[in-house]
Amino acid sequence: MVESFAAALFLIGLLGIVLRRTILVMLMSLELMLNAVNLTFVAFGQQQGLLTGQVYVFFTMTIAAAEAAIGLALVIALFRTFRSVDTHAVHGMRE
Amino acid sequence: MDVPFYICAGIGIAAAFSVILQRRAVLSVLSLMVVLITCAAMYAMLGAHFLAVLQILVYAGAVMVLFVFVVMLLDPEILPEEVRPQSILERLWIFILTLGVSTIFAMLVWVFAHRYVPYRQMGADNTEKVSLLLFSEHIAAFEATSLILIAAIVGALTLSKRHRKAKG
Amino acid sequence: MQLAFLCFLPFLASIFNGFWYLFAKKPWKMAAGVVSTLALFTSFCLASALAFHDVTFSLPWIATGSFELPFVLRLDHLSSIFVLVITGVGTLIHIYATVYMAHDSGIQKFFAYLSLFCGSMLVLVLGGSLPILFCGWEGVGLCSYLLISFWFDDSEKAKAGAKAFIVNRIGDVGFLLGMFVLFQACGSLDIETLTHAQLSPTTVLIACSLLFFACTGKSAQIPLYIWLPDAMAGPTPVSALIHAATMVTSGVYLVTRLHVLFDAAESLHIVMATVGGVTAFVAATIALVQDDIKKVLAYSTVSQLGYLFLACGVGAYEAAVFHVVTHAFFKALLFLAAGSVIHGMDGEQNMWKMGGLKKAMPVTFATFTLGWLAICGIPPFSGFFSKDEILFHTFTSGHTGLWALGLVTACMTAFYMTRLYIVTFLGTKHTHAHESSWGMLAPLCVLACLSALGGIFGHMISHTLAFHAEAESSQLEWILMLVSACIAGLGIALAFFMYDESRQPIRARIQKQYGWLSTALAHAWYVDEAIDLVLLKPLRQIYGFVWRTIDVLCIDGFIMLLASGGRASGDVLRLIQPGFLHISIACMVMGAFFIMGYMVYGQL
Repeated sequence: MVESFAAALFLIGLLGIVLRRTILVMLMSLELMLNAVNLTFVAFGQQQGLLTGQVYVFFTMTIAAAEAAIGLALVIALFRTFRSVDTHAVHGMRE
Repeated sequence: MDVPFYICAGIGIAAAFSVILQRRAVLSVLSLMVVLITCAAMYAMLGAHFLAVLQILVYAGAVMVLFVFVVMLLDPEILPEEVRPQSILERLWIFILTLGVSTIFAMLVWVFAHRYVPYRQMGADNTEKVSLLLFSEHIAAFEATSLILIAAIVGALTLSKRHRKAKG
Repeated sequence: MQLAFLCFLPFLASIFNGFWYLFAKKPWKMAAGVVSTLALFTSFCLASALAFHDVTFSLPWIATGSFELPFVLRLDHLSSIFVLVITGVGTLIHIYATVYMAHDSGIQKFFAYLSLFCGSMLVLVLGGSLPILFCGWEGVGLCSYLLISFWFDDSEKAKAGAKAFIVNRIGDVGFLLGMFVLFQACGSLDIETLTHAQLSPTTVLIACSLLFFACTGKSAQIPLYIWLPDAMAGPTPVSALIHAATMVTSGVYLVTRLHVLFDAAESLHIVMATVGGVTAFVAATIALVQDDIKKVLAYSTVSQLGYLFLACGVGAYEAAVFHVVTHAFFKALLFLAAGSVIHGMDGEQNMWKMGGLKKAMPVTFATFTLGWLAICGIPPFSGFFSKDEILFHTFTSGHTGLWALGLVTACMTAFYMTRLYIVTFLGTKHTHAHESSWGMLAPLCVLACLSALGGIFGHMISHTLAFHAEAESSQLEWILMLVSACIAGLGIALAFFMYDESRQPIRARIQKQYGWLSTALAHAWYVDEAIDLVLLKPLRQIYGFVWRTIDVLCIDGFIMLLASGGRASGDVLRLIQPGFLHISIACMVMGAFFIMGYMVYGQL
């Protein structure tokens, strides 16, 4: 049951990433997906009676926090350079 | 197990849709916070008390606050975007995506329902057990995360520095 | 218990003065001197009360497993003598310094350091085991540094202090190694235990050689004497207390304390005696041409310390202790009188600019005369008796060569001290110098009396120390006494001959003929320059090399390489990107759908 909920969250996040143009909202959808995965880990771990799942979630959570920090710093730097957070407008990555 | 789960699940799904469908970014952030708290409730129901608290503290507490800060830093004129599909092509694209997602979701639910295993009862000493595991088997990864956090701090600081006009 | 008080009172005064300096600089600064003086004087009274009794004070200090080191202070006959000298002469110098440093803005700091020094010296002398002694040893080294570079705004003075400390530390390595050897051989570092332990001759030889090396540092023998002349940069009371009366005698104290061990190290005796004799001779040669009053006295101190180690080397420990006591008296007197002269001449230290001070500073003149007579070794003053004891023992133990060396040095000592005396005090040049105040003159008078009458302590000292059986006065002794006295008289007569004002042309002729010798002596045989060239220059090259290549090039370069490598690879890899984010995401999601679909379908 919990796994289904997690799956739903994951897919909703996926929709968010593809459909939205604001980078900030894309990042938030990414967080949504990460949370869904965490939930799945814990649910399956609980099914099998192991605590390993929870330990992995601990690490994932930490790294997700770090990644959110850097992502947000990137957003700010991007904003300063391009004065816009629209992914369709920002396309200088190749140069 | 059942009724609280369905309530939380309902709230969670609604909030998740709210995250991706809001026009203003602040409301997205707040909806995400609701989702995270719902997840924390799920963790608690599954017996992972340590993670539940950690989720509230770290995710809902720190990461979401970071998001709010950034939202406040960005220009309010530029941020809101139109979520209504603008053209036929866009409507088609959304339709295809939703179809695909729903298919996959249906298949996943079928798989999970098919392999349903009843949940076990977990003890009240979850925190103690998790910490023991963390500090014995997974100590290397534990130390490595601290390195990653330092790298993240340095990176975030460097990226968000204002570069002055005159170099050097 | 009183022993603990005796030892720690100066520390209390030091802490008090230190806090005073830090927190309240204004009111009545001279009181700092009074506090320190009173503390040391009380210690002196306690010392007199406790003298020559065997008192022990013990506190448990370090106790870990099998190693135990209680904090033991032990007063016996040998340490009583030293304690009395330290506290007694120290009190006099404190009184002098209170007046001398009265106008200095850092006077509380000065007395904090001075009291700290006296406390450390007492710990050194009273220490019952070698580590405690070493604590005091290090403490006096530290205070010596603090006090020499007291006026550290002048970088020359600061460098002199650093030089003293570093050279002392080099000696301390010897001390530590000696302690390690003894501990390994004996299992304990308590002095009582060490003196009664059975140790193999090689162990004793090694340990004593290492300890002797430490003594060359502290007591300014060759090769580690180079700090003492530079240490004259400190205030004159510092020179008097530390570099005349007390710290420099710690080496002699160590040897005398462990004389049982040193007696057993046969091969070391000749080394010690030779080092002492040669140091005495060389230092005396340098002192012949110095123009600064304090430098003359500094090299004179090195010379007299050489005598002390000569005595220890031939086994005449009582003579060495006797000479320590008399040297404390007359050298402190000479330094303080020199300070009085410098004070009266408003800071001038070059003796050629002086002259005729006999009329202008009568009391200083009178006391300096007594000190001069004592150091030259004229009977019946104290210096004669102690120096003669040393020379007598050197002769009777068969070292005739060293005895002759000692005699020549005595002649030179008389010569240069008389030269100093004549040029500074006699003649008719300056009369505008003013006499010092009674605060400075009173200690001078007391020390003058002690220098004059100190000879009577000789018998007392040999009697209480009782290391060897007392020999009977023999014919030989009287003959040698006569020889010493005559040599001293010869030196004085020569000096009077040379430095009388009418002999200027003779001096100029000698100067022209032997000018090269005079320059070499004036630069102290170029020892400092030699050390700089041979030792310090290569060291600096090595430091520079280590810094440039290893630190900057290798370590810093490696880190920079990592960073620039990351940046370069990023520059290359960005060309893979199409540049349009939403298209990348769409493609990725499509692909993910297919994979997900395929996997889930497989599970159905």
